[in-house]
Amino acid sequence: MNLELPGTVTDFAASAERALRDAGGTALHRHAEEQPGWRGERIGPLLLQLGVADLDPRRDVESALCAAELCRLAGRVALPYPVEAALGCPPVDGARLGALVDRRDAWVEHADLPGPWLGVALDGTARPARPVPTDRNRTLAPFVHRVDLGEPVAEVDEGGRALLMDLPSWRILGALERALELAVAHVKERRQFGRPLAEFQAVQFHLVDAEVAVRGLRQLARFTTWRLVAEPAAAMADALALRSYALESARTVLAVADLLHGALAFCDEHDLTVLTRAVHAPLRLPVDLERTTELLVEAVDRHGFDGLFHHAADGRGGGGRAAGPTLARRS
Amino acid sequence: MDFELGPAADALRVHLRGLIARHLPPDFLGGFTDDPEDLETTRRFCKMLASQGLLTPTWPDEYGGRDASVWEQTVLREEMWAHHEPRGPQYMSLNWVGPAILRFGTEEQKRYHLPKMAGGEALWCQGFSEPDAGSDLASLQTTARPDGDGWVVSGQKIWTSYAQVADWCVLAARTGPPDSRHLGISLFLVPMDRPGIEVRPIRSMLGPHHLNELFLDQVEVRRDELLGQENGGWAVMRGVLAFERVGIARYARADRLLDAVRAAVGGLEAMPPGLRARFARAMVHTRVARLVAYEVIGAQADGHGDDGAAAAARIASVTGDQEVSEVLVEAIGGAVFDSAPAAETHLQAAVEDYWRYSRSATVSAGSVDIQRMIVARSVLNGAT
Ligand SMILES: Cc1cc2nc3c(=O)[nH]c(=O)nc-3n(C[C@H](O)[C@H](O)[C@H](O)COP(=O)(O)OP(=O)(O)OC[C@H]3O[C@@H](n4cnc5c(N)ncnc54)[C@H](O)[C@@H]3O)c2cc1C
Repeated sequence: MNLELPGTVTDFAASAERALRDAGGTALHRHAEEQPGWRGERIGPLLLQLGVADLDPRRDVESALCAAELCRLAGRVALPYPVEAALGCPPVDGARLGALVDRRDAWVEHADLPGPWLGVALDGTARPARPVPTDRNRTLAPFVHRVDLGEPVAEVDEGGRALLMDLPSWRILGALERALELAVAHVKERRQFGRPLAEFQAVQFHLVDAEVAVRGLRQLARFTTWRLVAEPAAAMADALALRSYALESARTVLAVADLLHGALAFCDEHDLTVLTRAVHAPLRLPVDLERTTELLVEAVDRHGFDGLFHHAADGRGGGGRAAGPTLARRS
Repeated sequence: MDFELGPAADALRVHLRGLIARHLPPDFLGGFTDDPEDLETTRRFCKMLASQGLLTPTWPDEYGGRDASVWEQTVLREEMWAHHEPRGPQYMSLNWVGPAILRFGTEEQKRYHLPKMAGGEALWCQGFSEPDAGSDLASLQTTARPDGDGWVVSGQKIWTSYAQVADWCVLAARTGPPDSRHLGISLFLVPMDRPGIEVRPIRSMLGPHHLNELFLDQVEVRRDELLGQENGGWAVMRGVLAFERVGIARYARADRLLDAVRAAVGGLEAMPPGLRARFARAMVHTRVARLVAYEVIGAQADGHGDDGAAAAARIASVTGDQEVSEVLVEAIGGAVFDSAPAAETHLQAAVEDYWRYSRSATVSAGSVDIQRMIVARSVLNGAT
C-alpha cells in the first residue's frame, strides 16, 4: 500500500500547473469564448510542449496518473480544449478518439476543432463524428457540438472505454477543488452581521459537505485510475462508479459554492461562473447521473464490485463466494 | 502508488476468515445480545486470537505484539467488524486504550496493563461522558480531590459502554479548578472493583449491557494510576481519539452486507429501479469511505496525521453507515421483521441489527456535527 502520487507525477503536474497559469488560467476560457479559433492555435501547442502527445495513459500507472492530473488541472482553469483527445491514446486509423457518446443524442466537446473525430458509443463501436454547423451561441458548455455519426469504423475495447469514462471525472474533480477554494476564500473575506461569513456555523457546515465530497472524490479518482491499469478486470464498473460519485459530488459542491458567494456567483467576471459553465460539458456527457447509475447497476451485476475487499471466502476473489449468509423467507 | 494491501495483509485476511468460520456460531451477531453465551464467545475468541499474536499485532514484541504493519491491523479491524466484532467489548481497549498507554503510560503501567490486554484477559470501559458534559466534554465535573499522595474521585459518568462487564476504566476527572475546562482534566486507570464505584445499566435498543451509568462516590485513586501528566488528560484524549475515529471499520460490514444482500435478492437488477440506483450509490459511497479511511491510516503511519482528515473520514463512514442501513432494509423488505437470531435467518437478523446499531453511529465517540466543526476548522485554517 502506497497512497502517495509518484514523484514523476507530481513533478509533471507542477510543471503543467505552472504552464497553464502562465498562459492565463481561466482567462484562456474567456478569450476562447470571444475567439473560438484561438483554442487550436494557442492551447494545442501549449499541451504539445508539455509532452502530452507521448503520454499514453494505458502504458502504466504513472502515465495514467500523469494524464489524470493533467485533466484535473485543466478542470481547475476550465481549459477550453479537448485534453483527453490530445493524449497519446492508441489512435484509430489516425483519427482523434473524441469521446464517448450516447448514440441517440450525440454531442462532443470541441468537435469543431480539426479532427477527424471519432465518437465512441457506449458499446465500443467507434464512428466518424462530424459537427453539425450551428450559429447559435450558448452560455452553458459553449464548446459542445452536436455531431452526426457515420458508420462504425473500429471497436474500442472495454479498457479504452473505461479510460474515456474515467478521465473527464478528473476534470470535474479539478473544477470542484477550485470552486471550493474560491468559496473558502470568499467566506473568510466577506463580512455580514458584523463578522466574516466563515464564523457562522451554518456556513461552515456547508463548506464541510463540500470538503468531504471533494476529499472522497480525489481518493476515488486515484484508486480508480490505478485500478484501470493495475487490475482492469472490472474496469467499466470502476469507471462508472467514479463518474457517478463525481456527478453527485458536483451537485453538492457547486450548490455550496454558488450559495456562499451570493449574487457574485453568477457574474461573468468571477471565475466561479466560468468553472460552472465549463464543467457542464463533462457533467452531462456522455450521460448524466441517472443514466450513469443505470449503467453502473448493469456493470456491477456483471462484474461484481469487490475493489479492495474480496468477498470470496479465500479473500482473493478466487475461491467462489464465501459461505455467506442467505436470505431465508419462511412461509 | 499502489492500493494493494500486500501479501502479509492478504494472507492475514484469509487466515482470519478461516478462524471466524471455525470459531463463531452461525447465528453470531456480536457480544451484546440477549444470549449471555455470545459474550462468552467473544472472550474465548479474544484468547484464541491472543494465542496467535493476533489481538495486538502492531504492538511491540515486548508487550505482546508482533510489530505488524498498520495494513495488517487494518485488515484485522475490517474482518472483525465485518463479522460482527467477535472481539466484543475488547475492541475499544485494542483500538485506543492500549495505544494510549503505549504512548503516554509509565514503564510500570505498560508492563502491568499491556500484556493483559494482549492476552485477551482485560475488559476496559471509557468513563468520559457525563450527564452535563457530552459534546462539550471539557466541561466535565467529576472531581478528583488530592488526598495524601493520590486523589479521591466523586461524580457521575453516563453512556459508559460495557461498564457492567469491564475490569478496568479509563476515567476522566477534574484535577484543576471547576472552570479550568480542558486545562484541568486528568485520566486515571482504575479497576472497576474499587470501592465506591457503582454501575447501573441503561436499557437501550443497542442491546443489553451496552450503555450504563457509572456512579463514583469517594473512590480512592493512586498516583501510579494517573495516565500522562496531572491536568494533561486532554492531550492524551486528543492524541488517541484521532486513532479512534478510524478505529472502527464500519465500511467493512457495510461492504459485506451489501454484497450478501445483493446476491440474496438476485442482483441489483432484481430490485425496483429507484432502490437499485440508491443501492448502487451506497456501494460507491462505501468504497469511498474505505478509501478516505485508508488515506488517514497511511498518513498516521507516516507520522503526519491531521485532525481534519480523520474527522472527514469519520463523517463519510458514519453517514454512509446510515445510508447503507436504509437500502439494506428496503432490499430485504418484510424479512426484516422475521429476524430471530438463528442460523437460517442470519442475513435478515444481521440487517436488522445493522439498522439498529447504525442509528447511534452519528452520535457515539463525538457526534457527526462535532466532527463537522473539526473539519471546518481545518478547512478554514488551510490545513487540509
Ligand atoms: C452507542 C454509544 C456508546 C457510547 N459509549 C461511550 C463510552 O463508552 N464512554 C463515554 O464516555 N461516552 C460514550 N458515549 C457518549 C458519546 O460520547 C456522547 O453521546 C457524545 O459525545 C454526544 O454527547 P451527548 O449524547 O451528551 O449529546 P449532546 O452533546 O447533548 O449533543 C446533542 C446534539 O447537539 C449537537 N451539538 C452539541 N453541541 C453543538 C455545537 N456546539 N454545535 C452544533 N451542534 C452541537 C450534537 O451534535 C448532537 O447532535 C456513547 C454514546 C453512544 C451513542
